[in-house]
Amino acid sequence: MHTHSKKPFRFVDLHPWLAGCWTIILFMGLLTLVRGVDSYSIDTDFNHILPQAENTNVRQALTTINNRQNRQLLVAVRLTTTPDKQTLNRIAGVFSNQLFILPNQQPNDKIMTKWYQQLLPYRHQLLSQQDRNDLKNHRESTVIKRAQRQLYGFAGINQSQFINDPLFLFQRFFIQTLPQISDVRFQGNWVVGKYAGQIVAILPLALTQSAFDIHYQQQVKQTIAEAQHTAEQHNGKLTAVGAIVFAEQGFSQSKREISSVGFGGILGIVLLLLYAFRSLRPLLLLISALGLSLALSLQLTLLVFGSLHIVALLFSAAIVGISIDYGFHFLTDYYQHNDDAKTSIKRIFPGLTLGLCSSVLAYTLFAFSGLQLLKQVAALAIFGLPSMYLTVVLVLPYFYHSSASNQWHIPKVLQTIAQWLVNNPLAKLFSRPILLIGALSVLLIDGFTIKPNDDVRNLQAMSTQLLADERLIRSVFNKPYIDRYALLSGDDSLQLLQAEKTLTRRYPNIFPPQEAISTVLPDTAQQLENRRFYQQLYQHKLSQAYQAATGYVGNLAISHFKPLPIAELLHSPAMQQRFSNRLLVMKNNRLAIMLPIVSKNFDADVCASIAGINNVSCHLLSPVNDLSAQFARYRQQLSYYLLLAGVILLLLSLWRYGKRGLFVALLPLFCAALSVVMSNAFGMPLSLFSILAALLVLGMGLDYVIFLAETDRPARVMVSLALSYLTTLLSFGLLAVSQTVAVSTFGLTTAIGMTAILVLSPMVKKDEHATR
Amino acid sequence: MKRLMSLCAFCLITTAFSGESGSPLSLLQQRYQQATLVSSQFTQEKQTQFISQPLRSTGQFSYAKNHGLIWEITTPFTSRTLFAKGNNMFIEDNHGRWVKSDNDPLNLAVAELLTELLSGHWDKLQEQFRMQPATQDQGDWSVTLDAQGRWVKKALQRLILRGNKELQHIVIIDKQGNQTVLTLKNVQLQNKTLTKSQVSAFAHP
Repeated sequence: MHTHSKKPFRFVDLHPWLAGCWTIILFMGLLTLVRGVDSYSIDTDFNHILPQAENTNVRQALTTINNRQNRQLLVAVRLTTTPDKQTLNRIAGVFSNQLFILPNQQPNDKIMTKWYQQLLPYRHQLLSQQDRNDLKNHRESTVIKRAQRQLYGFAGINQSQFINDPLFLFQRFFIQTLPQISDVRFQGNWVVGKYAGQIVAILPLALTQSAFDIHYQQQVKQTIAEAQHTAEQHNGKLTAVGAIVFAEQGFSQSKREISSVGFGGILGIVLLLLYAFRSLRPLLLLISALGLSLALSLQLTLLVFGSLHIVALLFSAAIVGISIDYGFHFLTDYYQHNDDAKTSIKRIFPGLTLGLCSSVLAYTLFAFSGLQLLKQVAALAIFGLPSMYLTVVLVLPYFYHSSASNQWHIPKVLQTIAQWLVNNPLAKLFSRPILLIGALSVLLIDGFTIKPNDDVRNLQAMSTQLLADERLIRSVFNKPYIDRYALLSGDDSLQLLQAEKTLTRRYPNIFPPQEAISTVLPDTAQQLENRRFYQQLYQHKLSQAYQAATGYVGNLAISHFKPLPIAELLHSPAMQQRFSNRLLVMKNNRLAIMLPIVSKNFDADVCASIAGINNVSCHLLSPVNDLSAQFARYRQQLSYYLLLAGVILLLLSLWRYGKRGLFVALLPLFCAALSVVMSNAFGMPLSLFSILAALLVLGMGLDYVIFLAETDRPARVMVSLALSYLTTLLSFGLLAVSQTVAVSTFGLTTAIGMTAILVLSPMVKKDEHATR
Repeated sequence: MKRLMSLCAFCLITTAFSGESGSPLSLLQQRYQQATLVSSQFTQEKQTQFISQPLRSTGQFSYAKNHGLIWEITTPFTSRTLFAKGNNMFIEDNHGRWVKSDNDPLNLAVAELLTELLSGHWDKLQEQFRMQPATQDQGDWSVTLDAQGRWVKKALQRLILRGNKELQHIVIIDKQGNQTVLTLKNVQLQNKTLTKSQVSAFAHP
């Protein structure tokens, strides 16, 4: 075997000081990780692992949408009778702690008074939509009758307001500027409405901390449970809806899956190792080596990123899966040869090193993806794989001093299976270049015809109960589900309102005009027109008669025209409160308007209609769809990386292995493509996660073929590969049972790919091509 | 057991409202609770501090449980308003159709109190008002309710109910101290299910 030459691998002469230094580093990594365990955070917010929008305004708008949604918790109590104050107070009392803020639902009196005073000087330019329509169509009598009804109505009349506004026109306009919630009424902090014949009382709460803080999630969950108990005592059923509830559900599910899959996997791996080596020593050594390497890898990754995302942590299992193979190769080689550990390491060194390089190369590609999650996974691999490699090469041999006469350690069954695998007919069949290239071409063509599904919602399996609760609250508020917005931004407030008006007029079904800011703050032309309507009405004989009937001579004079100070009014607290969902103050103190798109069928070119308005830009925002689109982009990007990696590997393999290199490079690529196509045939979507799994198959598969290509004794290497395959199946294959589509896709794709590589990898062994 | 508890709760509420169970007021409340339709003629006198003569209007109203309140003014002008469920207000147009009107929170708030009074659900008023003990004199009774709910306080200061065998006067005193006296005449309580034509009168878009 040409790799037995000592020269290139001299450093494997196992200088004790090198092993010592590395052991110290490993333990330092573990100690630092344990000491700082309280200061590290596990992030569960999916927004943090996703790419940010390029446009600053869009980025800020998306952040605003996310923050608003994430900081809100709606508590709904379903009751059979109208709730009394004491019951609601008792339930609300459970939430009166530092975990929540009880926002005041009622408009702030001071803000409203100031708002009234700000608008009053311009009252003769302001009309409610209804009055405006009537006056435009010369229905003065209708407007006067409206005033009479107000005058003779139940409610009292304020003297100063009556003097300034004897026909109550401004009062009606002013009411229109206040928040409108129909079909609900306030009871303290509660909003009371009806749903399916039941009375529903909703308490909107604001969270004081991040919805994705795990400790906070638990505290909130406990408080909700307490409130549920209180509500039950009053024959009420309490449900809570908000990002924190979904996040907690997602985290609990991930934890459950990690625990069950992880426990099952670890148990399986332990039993397998005990069976394979029939000794505790290899098991303990592997676990210790893995634990220390993973601790160092986690510590270094945390140093780089500050925190780790839960999904990255889930993917770190992949690093364990790959790195444990290094240990297997050493142990199976040692136990199958009658020489010492040092010789074993020298024998497997080339394969091990090439395998490490190929895996690190594959993971390094992740780092260029621009996706935060993949960068974290790449870091875990870049730190973790070499750590385990160095531990195996430098440290493990010290635990095996004597020459091995340990053949009995490897069960005969395993050796027989390995022997069969090495000579299996399928591998022989595919060892014809034309067949492999042909099959690969078919798979690639088939792969390109698969319709991908990049829906970001696949990241979490939503509880149907939570979704039903959300629908209930939405229907009480009579609010449609909004997941698309048009963002208008620009320097000039007037032009911004002009753009909004243009959109609401042109697309009333998409942007309901009655909810537009421009209805509250009309433009100059409309103000002038309103003023003319006022003049006409005040001079009308019916107005004179109305005044005479009251016996009070009010002021029917019109004030001088002065345009509304739009910019100033838009920045007023009343407007910020009234249009908190659509008026955004950007970082440079400029304003932006976010228009919710209420129709599902909308023209994608809506923004084009404001093209004529200077300095106003329009962006269509769809947080969910945009993220899905980004997922699609990264899936495509990674697919190209996959192909690129294939080409690079092909060149390197041809250089190292000659003609045999064609198989070394193409087989992992073939298995990666096969895993994606087959998992799709089993109902899993083609998504970023299936491509990630394909990359893993490529990386691990390359290790398999390199080990087989480098060895003169393929049956012995196959024992190690079979063990590696079984542990991979136990760690990743079990992910296929996850309820989260993304995770199950990853699990099944990996399982299929690794099975294919195990069966087909013997086609690269030396004798196969020598005989050919 | 549940029925017994409901009865106890009912008695407690009635006692708090009227001072004693079995009083004319509690009997009146029961009658209003049983009625499906309450109709009456009314005279409303609204006195303001800055208009010398009171604003006097007359007309009739109909209140149907689960349908709403139709308030019809006949003098000094004619107008029909429907206060429907869910805080919606409709005005009858020249063609006899109900047309949704702009939000008028103050009048809606008072209309809601009126509907609670006419439906006999006086216990609900306790959430919004502090009740002074009822006074009784030879069958005449009077109850004063001081507004304490934040929303109600915006609309009015006090509500005074007076009557004998029937509810006769509702006095509304607003924040500025202006007083509106609503006098009811020929109050009719119907216990039977509403006829189709009665229901259709409340039908709105």
